[in-house]
Amino acid sequence: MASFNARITMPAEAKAGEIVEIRVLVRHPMDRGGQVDAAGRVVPRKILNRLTVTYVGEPVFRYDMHTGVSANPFVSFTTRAVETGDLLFEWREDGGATFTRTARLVVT
Amino acid sequence: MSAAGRALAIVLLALAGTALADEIKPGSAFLSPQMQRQQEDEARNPGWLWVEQGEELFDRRDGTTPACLSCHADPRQSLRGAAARYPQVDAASGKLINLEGRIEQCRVDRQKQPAFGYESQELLGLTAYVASLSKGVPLSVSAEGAAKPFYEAGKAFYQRRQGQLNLACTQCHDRLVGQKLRGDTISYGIGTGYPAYRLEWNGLGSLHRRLRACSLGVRARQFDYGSDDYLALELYLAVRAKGLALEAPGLRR
Amino acid sequence: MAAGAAGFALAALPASTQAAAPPALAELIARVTEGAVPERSKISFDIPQLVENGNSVDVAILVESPMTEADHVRWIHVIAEKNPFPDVARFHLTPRSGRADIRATLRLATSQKVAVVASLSSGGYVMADADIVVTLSACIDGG
Repeated sequence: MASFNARITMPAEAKAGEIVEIRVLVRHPMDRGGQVDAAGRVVPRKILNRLTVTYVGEPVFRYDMHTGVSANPFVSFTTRAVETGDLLFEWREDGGATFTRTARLVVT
Repeated sequence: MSAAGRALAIVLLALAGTALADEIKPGSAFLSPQMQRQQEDEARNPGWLWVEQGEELFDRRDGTTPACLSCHADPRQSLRGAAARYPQVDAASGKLINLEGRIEQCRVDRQKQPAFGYESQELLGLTAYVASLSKGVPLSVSAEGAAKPFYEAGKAFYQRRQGQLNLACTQCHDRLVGQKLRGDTISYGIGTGYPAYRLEWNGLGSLHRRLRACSLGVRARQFDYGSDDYLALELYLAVRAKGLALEAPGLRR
Repeated sequence: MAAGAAGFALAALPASTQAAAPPALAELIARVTEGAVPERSKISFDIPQLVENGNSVDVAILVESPMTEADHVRWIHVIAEKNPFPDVARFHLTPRSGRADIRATLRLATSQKVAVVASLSSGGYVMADADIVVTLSACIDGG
């Protein structure tokens, strides 16, 4: 299994009040469970079930994912630039593992 | 044959002639405009997740093992165009090797590490990374000299009828280009987008994986990853695609 | 199955047993709106009519909303009626989203109707749906 990997694309800088688009691509097989692998074993369900995004501590976006979300999922959403600070992205995987990434937005 | 049947046959022949005379186009030319845009968008094409993994591996030192970067400093410059010259004949062994083979050779002979294995995520990542450094560079693979017998073998493979459907590559990928096969449009069978992220695979895969799918499709023998047969075919396809820009990591259905 | 019987099954059985007789889209929608019938307005749902591969389908959803404290979209829910698990995804927004403007890649098991339902801060709901056809690619190699 490959390591978790995320590509977060957003402007590094924005004017106060400006709406910025945030694009997130993440590497994950999103195993929906029930398939049979090459060795004949049934693959258990293991998906990222939630992405939560906070911006300087405030929740700004949440994505609840079920088995109908593609492998290596892409999502884009928007947020209003209010102050310079970190956006924290946290993914939760079935079984309880979490993965986090941060991206800084400078507000001018 | 009825008059209408003859007319149809003539039209089909004319279409086939047109396809042959056309300039060969890459696989991406047969994608929807949306997928074409996505392929070129590094924020959207999942293949770049593998490129990133490859870049990390390229830069990483394992204990006393030198990193790829130790020899190939400034790879954006030093390796630009390298992928566009594969497959090629390895001077030392006289064997035909592709980019995957060259990376594995470096890993085993120079880094003294166990091979990653064909189609491992690590080798796919490194291959995608090195190929991405040549994005936009026109293919310039040699069919001459030591490469000639391999090129001839690949060309023979391409033209030979195979499998239960008794089809040769050329029958579809030269003569029926642009026609529909189920939901797909038949392309020229050009490998410049590989390793590619294929929706069918939910992941990145090598050209040989794609060729194995072709072999299965005509119910012919599937050759091994890195086999001489597919290497020769890869060489033929690359020479046939001479001048087309590398576009790995490609995005395919 | 008659609509009444399906309704009964929906109310009486736990979610996992409902796969045996897929509930109609209207019922799937009613489940997320607590029975309210959404208005068909203010929401644009962009999904290819002909899906190239059901493994990854691009959707774009845009809800007309000022996205203020008083008037904003709380969440957008995607339902694929013929998926094994019809609730596909939910996007939670806030007034700080600025726009209710989402893109994502989904997995669609087969040709079907796909619906998006948005919950508004006013308490109302809006929706849109689309019929899609999942085409088959020529060479499926099964890995």
